[in-house]
This record gives sequence, structure tokens and C-alpha cells, in this order.
Amino acid sequence: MDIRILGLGNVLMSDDGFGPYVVRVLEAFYELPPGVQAIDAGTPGIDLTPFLLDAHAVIIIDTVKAEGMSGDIRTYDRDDILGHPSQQRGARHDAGLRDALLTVSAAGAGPSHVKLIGVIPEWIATGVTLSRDVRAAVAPAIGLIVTELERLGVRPKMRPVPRRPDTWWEQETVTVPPPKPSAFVRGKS
Amino acid sequence: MPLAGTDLEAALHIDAFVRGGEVCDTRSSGQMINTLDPILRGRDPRDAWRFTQRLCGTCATAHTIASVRAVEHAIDLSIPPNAQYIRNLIVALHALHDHIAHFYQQAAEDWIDRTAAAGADPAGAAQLAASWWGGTGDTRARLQALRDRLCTGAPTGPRPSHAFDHHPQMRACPESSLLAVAHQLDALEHQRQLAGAMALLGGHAGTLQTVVVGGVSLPIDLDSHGALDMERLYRVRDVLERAQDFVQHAFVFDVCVLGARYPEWLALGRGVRSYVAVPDMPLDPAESSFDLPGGVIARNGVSEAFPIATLSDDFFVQHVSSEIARAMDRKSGVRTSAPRLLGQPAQVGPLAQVLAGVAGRHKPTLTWTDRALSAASVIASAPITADALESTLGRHMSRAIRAAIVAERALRQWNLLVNNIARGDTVARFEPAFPAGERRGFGFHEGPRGVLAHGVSIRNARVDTYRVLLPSAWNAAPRAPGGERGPCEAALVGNPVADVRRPLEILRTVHSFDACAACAIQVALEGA
Repeated sequence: MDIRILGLGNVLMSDDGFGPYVVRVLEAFYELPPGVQAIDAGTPGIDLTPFLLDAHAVIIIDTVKAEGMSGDIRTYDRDDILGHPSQQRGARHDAGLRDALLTVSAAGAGPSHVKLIGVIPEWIATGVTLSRDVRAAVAPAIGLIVTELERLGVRPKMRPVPRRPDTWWEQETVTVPPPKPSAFVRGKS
Repeated sequence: MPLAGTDLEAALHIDAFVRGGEVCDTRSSGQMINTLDPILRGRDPRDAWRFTQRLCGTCATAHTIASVRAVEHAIDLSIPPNAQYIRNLIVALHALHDHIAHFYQQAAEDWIDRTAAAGADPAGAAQLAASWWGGTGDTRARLQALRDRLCTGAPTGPRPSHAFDHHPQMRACPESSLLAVAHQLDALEHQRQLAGAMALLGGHAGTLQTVVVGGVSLPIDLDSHGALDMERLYRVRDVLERAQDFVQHAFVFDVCVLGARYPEWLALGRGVRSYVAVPDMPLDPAESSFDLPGGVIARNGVSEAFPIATLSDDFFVQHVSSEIARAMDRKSGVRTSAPRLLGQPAQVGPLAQVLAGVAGRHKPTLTWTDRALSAASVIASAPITADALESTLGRHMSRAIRAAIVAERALRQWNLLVNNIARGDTVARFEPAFPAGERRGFGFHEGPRGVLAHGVSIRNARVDTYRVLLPSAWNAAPRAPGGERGPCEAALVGNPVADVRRPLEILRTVHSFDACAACAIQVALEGA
């Protein structure tokens, strides 16, 4: 069974980067079993469909527009997403998500199981850091992902020593990963 | 029109005023990012691409390519031939993916009525496909099954509401509509495969990781599994060949059928008639020749074409890149900063690319333009000439023509890459060096939506300012101070609107520009 965990959102728009952030932290703390793939998918718009086409189950992490306090988490199932008339807003990227789900099901493919885990953002403006409330929702969101994976019959293993989350956008400076050994001869500079 | 949600390339807004059943005036407005200073100032210029690729998920590849080119230009760094070929392959995979997705998943629904497709004769549709290109895949059994599904009301596409079913402007014939719906499903599979091939070269599903300042960070070793080896290269080639077959047959056929079926849309939606495209897919480190042509067509009183052979051509430097620099620096903050060509608004995108190629006598462009126009003429039983490309449907025809050319060029780049590696060259990246003092550079990329430009200034090895100019800054430009409408505004004027509550015709023209931002459209009746 192919399970895909997709973090949606824009890391350059502060709290909108929640989805990618959660995916990076998840990868740092857990070893995902075979068949489970976590992807920081950014804001793919209509290009979301390739991520869905060959997945049996999809867990999506995103920001949502809903009643409540910033940092609150709301979850939605496939029917909630498909049932949403486009005027009402659920997930911030839900028009794209709903269209993508309909598109892949038209092809007779795509996930039969969909779970959307959404956080209510505090601010969405140019910036690379999460607000305090939304940052506090990262660990609970990861708990929900793990529960969902267990419901799907797979159990992610916690790493004995967690890695440092690769949330490069918040960091002072980023470096290009060094090439693998014997990768290429260095040319002129 | 990607549903850009919270992409930085924020929403465009178009107001259309309708009188007597047609659009009599339009106003477009919008906010489009043009500075990344708050995020990039003070950072290492080698990291800029990682941030710019997040500007828009649909155009992540384009923003990566433009960014590394800008930094390399600033420090006068030429990249190795392997890096050029690999980047060109990535550019081609992205362009094919984008053209296919845009037409089949967004625009096709403006023209193809699923209710008509549900009434098609599958045998007739299979015969139609067979008579055009052999119709591999479009078998009678498959089309029969698809038609049966359309009749059951199961989900059949991205537009769930069937908002435009039975719209008076929907006139595609049932059999060609059924084929187009089948190709919509094929398109999804090609999108998946093309995305997979990009991950093979880009190092990661979803985001490109290997295109870095100085070249490509991908070890090359034809016999080593962890590196770019022959096995991986053959997988890329396989995807490209399939995509080529699809765009050169199904895609070109589908747009030609629409042209024949909706001949008025080969005249409607023309708009402004000046065009810009920059050359892309450089063939040598000095960038003295390119596989995709660039050029300017200016109709400033008289019609003139200026080929752009290289990015150091006098004409390009004086009239295009300097204007782009001006538009980037406009102090208007995030307001759409409208660039002008010789003082006039200008179109960018596949139509500009095709017209520049035709004007420059670029052989592949001439061949594919001729093939598409002849096919459309045969289907329509009436001559359709190159003038027809300057229209709403002509922009889609140009998209298919461009995709057909890009697929061919991509396979050529693949051969160039493999031959170069076979000669023993495995260098794919040069280490960049950042001298003290101030350096300024521009990166141009002819993306699927048209020319994209990034401008960077670097001070003491740190980013000082960073500007971008998006293709939609040209196409969705608002009215100039002098009163001339921008390309999209102008193209809408004169479009019929049969039903103001369902302004399908306005969507058709707006979608033909493939604006790189979510777009809200508001229709107002005037003097009714």
C-alpha cells in the first residue's frame, strides 16, 4: 500500500509554511516504513495530481480557514473535502486539493483514503518563521499523523536519536550539499 | 491559471464590462511580487534559488533556473556543457509537463462539453483518431468504456459543478470531445511520468535540488547506480519519447479540432500585437547559440521583427533587458509593474515563442507551425493561415506547437549529453567564487508562460537586492498611463458573452494566457 504524507503551503509566507515544516520535523523524528513517503510539496496548484495518482492513502498537512483560535487543529476526511462547495473555504489550498482529487478519480486512480490535518494560522505574510501558536501545533499534528498511519496499518519507528529538522528556510544560511565522493572533477572557478 | 492559494504571486483581478452581448471594456489589476529583498538580503547568493523556487509551486523549476543564471551572470561564471544539457533537459521536462497540464487540466474544459462526449459514437471516435495518427491507445473498446462512465455521472474531471454544460457556446462535436476527454486522462499519466523524470534529474520528488550555482550537483558516472548512469538516462529518454508522441499527435490534433470547430476564436482575443521571447536551451558555455529561438515583434506603427540570437545582442540589451531592469526597479512596491516594449505593451508566452521562431526562420518552428495549420485547415475544410495564431485559440495552438518543438529539442539535448559524457567529460559543476565589492546580474529564462527574469545584486558575497519580473507582468499588465490596454485586457474586448451569469467566453481568453496567478473575474452589465 502506498501512503503519501504531503505538506502543503508556502515556506516564504510565515504560518502558511506549516505543512512543509511538519513534514521536515516528522522526517527528523521518525523513520517511515517502506511504502510511506513524506513530501514537502509546497504550493503545487494543479500540479498536485501527480502526487495523488498512484497513492492509496494520502495524509495532507495544510493551513485551514475555520472558526477557532490560531494554532487550533481541524481534521477533514475525503468526503468533507469533496463535499465542500467551492465558495466555502476549508483548507487554504482546498480548491486545488478538491479539483485534484476529482481529476484523479476521473482517471479511476488516486487515494481512497484522504485525511487533511489543518491548522488555523495566526498570520500569513512574507516571512520565513512560524508564529508561536502555530509552532506549538507542530507536535500535535505529528501525533495525528502517527495515529493516522497506525489506523492505516503501518507503524513509523521513532529514531533513537532524532535528526535536526531540515527547515532550511528559517536558518541564517543554507549550504549546498557536498557532492558524493568521486562525483566530479572540480573545474576552474 | 494555477489555483495559487497563498503563492506569493498573488491574485489578479479582471473587471469586464459587457454591453450588447459583448465585452466593451476591461480593467485588470493585481498585485505581483517583484522584490524578494526582505527574505534574501544578507543571504549567501548560492542559496537564493532554494527560496525563489518557492515563489510558485507550478513554476518552481523556472524560478530555480532564472535564479542560478542571475547569480552566475553576476560573477561571470560559465557552467560546464554537461550542466547545460542537464538543465536543458529539466527545462524541457518542465515545459512539457506545464503545457500538457495547462491545456488538458485547465483550459480544455472551456471548450469541451462532457455532456456532448457522453453522446459520442465510440467507433466513430476511434476511427477519427486512427485516420489522423494511427490513434494508438484510442481504441474503440477504451472509448466505449469511457463513454459509458461519462453516462453514469461518475466524476470525470476537475470541474465538478458542470457549470458550463449545455452552454450555448459549447459546440465541439461529440466524437472529438470524447477523444479529448480520453486525452485528458492520458495527460495525467504523462504529467506523472514527466514529474518522475524530473525527480530522476532533480534529485527529489516535488522540488528541484540539483540545479545549483555553478552547474548541476549530480554526480555523473554511466556505470554507477547512485550517480547519473545510463539506466537513469534511458528512463528519462523513455518518458520524453512517450511525451513527444502524445504532444505531436494527440495535443496538436485536439487544438486543431478546436480551431476548426470554433473558427471565430481564431480571430477573437487578438489583443496587442507586439511580442517578446528570449532564446533558451543554450548549446555552449559561452551561450553563443541556443536550441530555442528568441525574438521581438514590434508593431509600433509598422511591423518589425528583430531576432535575438544571443543575450548580448545590442537590440536585446538596449530595448529588452534594460526595460526589464527598469520594471524590476520601479518603486511601486508589489503592484504589478508593467514592462513595455519600445513603449508599447507586449505579449509573452507560447504565441510569442512561435511567432519569434517563424520570424527568425527557425526550422523546427516553421515545420510544426505548418503542420498544425495544415491539419486545422483540412479539418475545417477552409484555409487557416498563420494570422489565426494571434487569437484566443491560436494561443493554445501555439502551446501545442511549442510543446511539439520542445519535445524534439529535448531528445536532441539528451543525445548531446550522452555523447559528451561518452567522450569522458563528467564535470557538471564549477565552484563559484564571489569577489569583494558589488556585482549585478540578470537571469533570463523562457518559461512555459514566457520570459521570466531575475535580477540580483551581490555585495561582498551576500545578496543585497533581489528582483523578479514574472511573465504575467507583461500579459496581465494593467492599462498604461497613456491609456493603452495591457495584452489580456485588450484581448477581452469584443469577446461575445452569451450568458453574463456564466461568462465562459471570458474564461476562454483569460485561460489562453495561462496567467501565473489565481485570477478573479467580475462581469458587469453596462447600459442594459
